[in-house]
Amino acid sequence: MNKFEKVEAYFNNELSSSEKNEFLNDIESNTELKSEYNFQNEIINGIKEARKAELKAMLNKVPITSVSTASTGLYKIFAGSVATILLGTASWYYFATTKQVELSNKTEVVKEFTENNVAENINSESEKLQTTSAPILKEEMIDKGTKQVMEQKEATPSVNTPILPNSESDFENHSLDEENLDIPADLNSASINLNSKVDVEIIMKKKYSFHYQYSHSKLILYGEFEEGLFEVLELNKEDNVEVYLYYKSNFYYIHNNTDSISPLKSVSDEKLKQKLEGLR
Amino acid sequence: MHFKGLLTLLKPYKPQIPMTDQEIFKQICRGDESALEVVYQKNYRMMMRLVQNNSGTEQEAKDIYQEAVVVFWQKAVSGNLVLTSKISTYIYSICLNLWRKELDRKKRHTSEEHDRPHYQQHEIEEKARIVRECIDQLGETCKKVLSYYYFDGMSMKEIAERVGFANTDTAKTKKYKCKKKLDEVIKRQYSAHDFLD
Repeated sequence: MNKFEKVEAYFNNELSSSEKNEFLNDIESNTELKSEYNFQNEIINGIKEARKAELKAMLNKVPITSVSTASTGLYKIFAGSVATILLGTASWYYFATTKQVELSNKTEVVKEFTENNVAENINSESEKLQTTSAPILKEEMIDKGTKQVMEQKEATPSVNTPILPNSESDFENHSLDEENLDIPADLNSASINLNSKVDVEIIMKKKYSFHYQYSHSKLILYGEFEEGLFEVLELNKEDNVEVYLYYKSNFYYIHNNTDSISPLKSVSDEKLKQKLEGLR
Repeated sequence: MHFKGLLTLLKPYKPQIPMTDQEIFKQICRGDESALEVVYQKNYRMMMRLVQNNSGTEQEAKDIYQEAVVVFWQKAVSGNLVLTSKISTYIYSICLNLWRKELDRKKRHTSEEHDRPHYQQHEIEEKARIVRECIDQLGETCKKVLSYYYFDGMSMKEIAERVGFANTDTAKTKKYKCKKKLDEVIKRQYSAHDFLD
């Protein structure tokens, strides 16, 4: 066995324990063998690193923005079709009868459809993630000119309940110790009301460009909100429910029981913003 | 022609049934990289949030997550992992451990010491680059055989099946020859100073 084969056999775990000990002793006394050993070791590490880099390069090419599945995409197309039908109906009502458009009957149909999906999504998501709490995220999809179209909920994971698999609990000689992790305490104290629903209506009035009115779980937004998706976040605190609107990268306070129409005020508190972003 | 096109568009939609964790895991164990991509995409936001909500930058979060996914891959493909939880839970725990270690390291090291691991990392990456360059010269089969054996920890039987060798002996001989050839290429093109110092 030449030195290459000896080193090769060692790295391939082909040596018995006595041969292994002998080999390790030889390395200490034989500089040529030691040099070959170091060389082989570096090559094997290089192969590993090269493969790792290859896998990471592959992961870097994975499109992250299109997290939604094909079914979600079709769901959106369907939503768009429903929105178009509603737009026509709403316009007819609007111009023919009243100034204030009520789409209650039609939105009920849409809501019934979405709520069923929502319930399924929440159940399956929460089951998937095995977490004890999950923030709710309502995406309101608004088509231009319609007053209200539909709402969609999606559960996202919280960060506070990792469960280590028993078989891997000794992974890298570490047991999980979350105390060192500085997980924001607020994430634990806030909970999300999965059963509540906020009806959202969009009204365009010249007088109000970026305002809202919120009472009895109904949120009326005044302004041109149709250009982007927005989300309504409900946080169940110990003694009250806080509602926030997320729109175009900003969070806005929604104060309850506001009979008057108020301007939307953005959340400036960095801690609160971080917390809300975390919950999103 | 147009009518036919319309009919194609109006084909009834068959929803894609998402794979279960066990199905994905089986595919990964078989070395299916596309299944790993599914896992990566599916859990991206959650894992990024874990690090970013705990003083990590976006880049750090991505590094940690990718490292965790690679560890998961390596353990699954080598057959050293019996999945007793959701894949997301398992990867989450790896991310948590890696990020905790990184935070500990940051706390421990002074700014002077901070440069040392960075330099070491650079050295490792440089050697990996040399090896990658030389492996590429050997051809796709050698590249696969060596990666599957040394990184993925596959058995000769698995390598023979994946690469399409007649039997395990062929795989073993091929691996030996590829390794020897790689040694020669590196020795020929790079000095000991480049590679060992």
